[in-house]
Amino acid sequence: MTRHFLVGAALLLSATTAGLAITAAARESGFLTPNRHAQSTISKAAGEGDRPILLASESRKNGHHAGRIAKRDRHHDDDDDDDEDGSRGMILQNGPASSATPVPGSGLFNGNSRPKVQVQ
Amino acid sequence: MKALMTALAAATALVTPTLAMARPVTFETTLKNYGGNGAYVALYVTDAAGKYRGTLWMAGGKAKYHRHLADWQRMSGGAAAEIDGITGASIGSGKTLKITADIADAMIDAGYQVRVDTAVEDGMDNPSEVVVPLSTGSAGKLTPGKGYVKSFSVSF
Repeated sequence: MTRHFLVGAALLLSATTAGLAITAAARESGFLTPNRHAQSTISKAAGEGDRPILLASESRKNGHHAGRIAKRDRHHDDDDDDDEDGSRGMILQNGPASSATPVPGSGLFNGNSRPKVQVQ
Repeated sequence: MKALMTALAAATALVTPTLAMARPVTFETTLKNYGGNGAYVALYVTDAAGKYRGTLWMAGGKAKYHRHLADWQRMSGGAAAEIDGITGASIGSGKTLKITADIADAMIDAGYQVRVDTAVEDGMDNPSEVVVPLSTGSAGKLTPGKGYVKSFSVSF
């Protein structure tokens, strides 16, 4: 009985070690490492993402023509704006605010990995 | 013998989650040279019934403009938790957004669809301008969008 237990324990230990090795290999491949995200190559989007957008329906509400988002409406929408006061560029260009932020638990990312993102 | 079987079962239980089958999938979205401001772009996944399953990436960091990504907003509810950690800057005219994510095999060739919504200041909102099946059959095919997306492709 003791011998069986020892054999079982050895198997358990080896299987766990194999699992850890596979996980480490996956991390090296870049799909499980949060910091890999910092390697994104987004470059020229600066200032492009912090402009307001207005719905055509809102534009109509304000008496402007339909189907387009009117630039002059910007100030109507931006009463609560948080970066139209000269502090543009607050949006990070390389993705999420923190690489430590976990991905949503939607199941899309296999539970534990982050997407790699590039803008070219 | 019984102890051995128990140990084997325990080992399997420990190792199986580690070996959960998944593969890297690359989503490439190229925008047209529309010449305007950066586009807000949402990539998300719906199941065979058209039900929202999750967001792959949100390009455009200001939450108050996410409502212009109308289908994403409607389906996801627009909650911040949906895009925590997977949000980046908007995408410039003519640029290509390339996302590689580890996707569970169970979601591939299972009726899931990838959708792309776009919106641009002084431009248009384009909900679901691209809808492509998450299937190996569509791998590498360039799909044009109805709005700002010049082409979209999925590769495995």
